[in-house]
Amino acid sequence: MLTSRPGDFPSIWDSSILNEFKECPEKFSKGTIHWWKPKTHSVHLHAGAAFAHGVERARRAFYEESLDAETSVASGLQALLSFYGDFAYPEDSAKTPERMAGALEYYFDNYPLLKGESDPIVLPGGKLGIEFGFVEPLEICHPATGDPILYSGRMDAILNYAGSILLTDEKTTSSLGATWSRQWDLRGQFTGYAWGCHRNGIRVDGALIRGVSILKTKYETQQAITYRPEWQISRWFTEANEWIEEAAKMWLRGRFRHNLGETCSSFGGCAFKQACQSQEEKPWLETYFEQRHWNPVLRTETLVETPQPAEVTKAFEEQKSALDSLSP
Amino acid sequence: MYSPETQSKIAIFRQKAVEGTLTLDECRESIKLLREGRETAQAAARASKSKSKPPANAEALLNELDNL
Repeated sequence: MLTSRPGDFPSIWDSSILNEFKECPEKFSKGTIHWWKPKTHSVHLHAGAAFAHGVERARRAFYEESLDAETSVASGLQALLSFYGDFAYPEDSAKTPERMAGALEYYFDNYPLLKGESDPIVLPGGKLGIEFGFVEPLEICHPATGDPILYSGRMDAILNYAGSILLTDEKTTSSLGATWSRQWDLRGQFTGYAWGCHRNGIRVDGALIRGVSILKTKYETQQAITYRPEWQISRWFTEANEWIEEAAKMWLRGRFRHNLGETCSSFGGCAFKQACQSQEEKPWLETYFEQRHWNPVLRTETLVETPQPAEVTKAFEEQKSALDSLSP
Repeated sequence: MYSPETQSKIAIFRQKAVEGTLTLDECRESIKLLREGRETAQAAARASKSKSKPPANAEALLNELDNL
């Protein structure tokens, strides 16, 4: 059963959903179980996605269509601007379409398209490792359907670089710093990606992360390489199953715990902070949020036109029945 | 970083992208303008850094060392 209504336990997880639960189970409940998303769309997410579209298009043009580097980057720019579209960015944002276009030019000036430099690998099916995605079953089963929970991931590329096979991720950010490269050493996102690659017969050595900072008057870049030995991948797999099992228990109980710590105030504060401060959350949620369903496989968000409180109540009643039936 | 003319051109090309009429040649032109703007800004920043810091006076430094 694929998640189709607010209140359902997700049958497909990805790195973002797993991190959301780890940060705060209640945030996961509001955001992923009940689909509440802020009405204001993030310029960072939109600009980052536009950049990713541009890089993907440039790589495909160069490696798949054998266009020259200049034409390939131009094609990437076309894709970036098309995706960015008429998105209304905040006035003071550095991630305007013009700045993102400049970031793409800057990226390929630093990491030029040259055959033999950092070529995408050839995947087992014969395609090139550009935007490789996977969906694989975990060991934990869905608390309602009993089907295996699926874990999905999508990486920007898998490259042959510096003598290693590296899954690759481009990250756009407001600032890099001296410690930027070290934050990826244990990052579960990449361990999960490495697991997905190995499941598909692709023996990656680790991850290559390229960061581009976009400021109003300049760009900077750093790249980091981090390795993922088999024992780390095995540890990630065991613990991912355990985290999701924890989430399933809370879902069956009908109550999720709140972090009430750093998560509430970090990165400018959790979007749900006001709602969590209120005894009656519903007015906050219905005023400042809308219900949008994120599909990790299709990588699309679907807006639910009106809240469905009846569906939520029904889902909770079903959960309670399931929990009651487990009691001796 | 970019001249008003460059920003204006990119804005026009962005609108064309929204309408689906942006051509590859226009994208090539954009890349060229963006590269020129960035390289000009980088050169200006380097020149500004070298002007603001006066060169060390080696003789004065050595005299200080002798006086210790």
